[in-house]
Amino acid sequence: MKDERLSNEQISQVRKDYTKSFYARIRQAKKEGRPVTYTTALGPTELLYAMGVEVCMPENYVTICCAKQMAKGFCEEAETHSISPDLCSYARCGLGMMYSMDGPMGALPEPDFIVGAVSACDPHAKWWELKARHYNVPLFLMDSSYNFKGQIKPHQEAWMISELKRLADFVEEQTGNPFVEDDFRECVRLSGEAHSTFAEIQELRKHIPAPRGIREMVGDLFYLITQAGRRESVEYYRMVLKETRERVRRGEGVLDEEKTRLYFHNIPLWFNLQIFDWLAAQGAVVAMDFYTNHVWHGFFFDGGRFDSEDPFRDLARKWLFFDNHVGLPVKLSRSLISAREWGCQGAIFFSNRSCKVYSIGQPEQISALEQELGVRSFTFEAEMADPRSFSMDRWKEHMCMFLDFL
Amino acid sequence: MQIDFGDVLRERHRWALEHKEKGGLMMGCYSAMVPEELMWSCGVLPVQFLMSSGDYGESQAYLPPYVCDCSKSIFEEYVNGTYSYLDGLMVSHVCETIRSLAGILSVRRPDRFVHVFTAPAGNDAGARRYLKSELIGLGDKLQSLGAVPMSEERLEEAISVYNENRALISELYRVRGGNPGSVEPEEVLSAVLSAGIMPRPQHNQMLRGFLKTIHQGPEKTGTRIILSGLLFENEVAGRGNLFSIFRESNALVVWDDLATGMRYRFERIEDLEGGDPLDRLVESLMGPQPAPLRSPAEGKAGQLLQAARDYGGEGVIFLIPKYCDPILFNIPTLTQILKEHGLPALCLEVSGSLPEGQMRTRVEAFLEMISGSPFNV
Repeated sequence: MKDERLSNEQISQVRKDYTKSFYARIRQAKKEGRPVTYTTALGPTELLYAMGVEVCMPENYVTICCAKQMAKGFCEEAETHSISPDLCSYARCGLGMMYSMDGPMGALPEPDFIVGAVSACDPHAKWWELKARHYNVPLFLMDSSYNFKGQIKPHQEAWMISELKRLADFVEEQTGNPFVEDDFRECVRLSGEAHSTFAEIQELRKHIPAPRGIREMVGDLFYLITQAGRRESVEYYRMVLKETRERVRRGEGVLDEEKTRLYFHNIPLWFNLQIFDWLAAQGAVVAMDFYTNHVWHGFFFDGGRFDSEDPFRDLARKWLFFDNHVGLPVKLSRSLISAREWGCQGAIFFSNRSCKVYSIGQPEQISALEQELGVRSFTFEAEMADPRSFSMDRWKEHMCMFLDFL
Repeated sequence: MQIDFGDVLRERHRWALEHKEKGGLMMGCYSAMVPEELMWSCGVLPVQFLMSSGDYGESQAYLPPYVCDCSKSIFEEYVNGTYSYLDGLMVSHVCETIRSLAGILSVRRPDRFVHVFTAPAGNDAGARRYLKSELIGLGDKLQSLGAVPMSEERLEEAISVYNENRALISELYRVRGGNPGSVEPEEVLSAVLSAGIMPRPQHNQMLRGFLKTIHQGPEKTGTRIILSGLLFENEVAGRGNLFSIFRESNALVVWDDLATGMRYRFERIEDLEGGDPLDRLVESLMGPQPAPLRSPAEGKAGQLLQAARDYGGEGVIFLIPKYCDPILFNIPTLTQILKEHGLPALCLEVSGSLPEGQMRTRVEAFLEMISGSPFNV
């Protein structure tokens, strides 16, 4: 029924309101003396929520900072503390907020402990080390093996399970909250349901016209990253799925008439998501993207589901298929599938100085897209969270030529 | 007989080619945190990539400009045929760049064996079990490439050879630390780098001879410095600018923890009577690792301070490769801790070849500042 439908703006408002309440919840927890942790955006929230810990993700706070055009100042602040401008701009902006005790909604509450990941990328280990030292709190670093070709061996999975159990012991030690298997099982179940629903939404993007654009999808990702394991994430994705299905049924798309369908590779420019609006104004829609589908959602994108009956095993598999943990052969295959199955005629590769783990190996993917699918690519260089790295005018000029070429 | 490890570096492929002629296999490696003893026990010669400076022309098309010269150098020489004799490639996860580079090389040369080895950052039962399975699996993979099957006896023998090598290198460092004028820093670094490219029994033989040639003459005086970070082969073997500046400024290198070869000096595989050699190898590969990604900066600061105490170091010079994230992330903590303890530090950003002008000014100013202020905390 017409009056039951939600516009993109209304869905976006639901998410924005929830984001505010999420950060308020963390502050409230700190006030009440409940445990608060900082973790990387890959952190196993399912386990942390199951153990009654409030999870704060500085990377997510950086994206809000970027949207509010505050990132430049914080990056500069970090650089005055000997943080090299060559390092990841998430780290610089996050450390700048820490040093200046400020942020888009005020300073984040101080953590009681920190959970980083040595396996994910260099900043995911070392940035958290700097934070732990600054706040003088314990640091737990998750480690894991490399899933080079997308085939996990039993000893790799066993180590990851052992790391998750080691984390559970660490959290118990830090908080006094006992690990309760039933609570963990329920959180992992909810996470699996959120991922499965998210996979259905991604599937609907194959329709022409694409019913949900990249701007909405990168916003949707908030729940998959920060709220995995919570009921709110399932409810949000069910709402989005319902509306997206309705849009498909009615033939409503991001654009009424799509001139070009594109594949976008790498993290979005958080300080300039308007590039996607500009593309839409030229008749080009990003029908599929790397960031929302391959990074956190890689295990599900590859066809995996939480169906092992062992929540530790399910979570271990999710972890080992994050894009950060897979080798180029897997990345290459994922890009080919995305471009082919979502009907992309061109690709935009963002060579991100702030993210080597996603950017190294792009030329091989570009070459494979062209050779195997005839999909031509455009590459530009910038940083996802440092606006000093990007010129919109120059980007538009180059992009116009690329779109004309396509 | 004059023993010059610089010659080994100048003829860096000779040893691998000789090993190949005898029917052995060769594995290109990056970082010492790979199981070299296991490879050697299977008849595989681990060949550590040396870093050559250059314009890295080919790499520009495949690697972004914001990656370190180490990865560009490896890429360049791997694809241009310099290392065509290799039977495979094994890199340790010491940074995301090298791990990603392994992916590129495996896609470009799918016919070659490529392995990313993870030496755990922690030290717990789960990681230990993983590592043991990983090493057993690796032995099987090497065998499928034509290597000798793994055996307890051969592994025991390899561990013994490598342990002797570590002991000899440690002795070299001890002698140099006691009287830094007795041996040039390039000679020490050439000796360590050579260990990574030649069969260890021959390297042991050379090292034994080299140690005998070091004359403990009267102690030289000068500003005693410690180096940390990474240096390229040409700077060591080619008598680069850095060491000339040190000599001209009367600076004496008393210790270093430069990246290549660090593990050889520090970690002897324990001799447990009757213990399974594989278990001992596992134990030696457990964390925390010497690589900055896989160990906290506090540990590294502690090592530098200890070396300064042991050898009278007056300052630390960090040689920071451009775009090396793990080292760059460590610098704020390291410099802060050293400062808190009164040990001055200079940070120099370096790439393949070191530009003389600015570096000379900075090094000379630093040395002048610290000269005559021995570290005594």
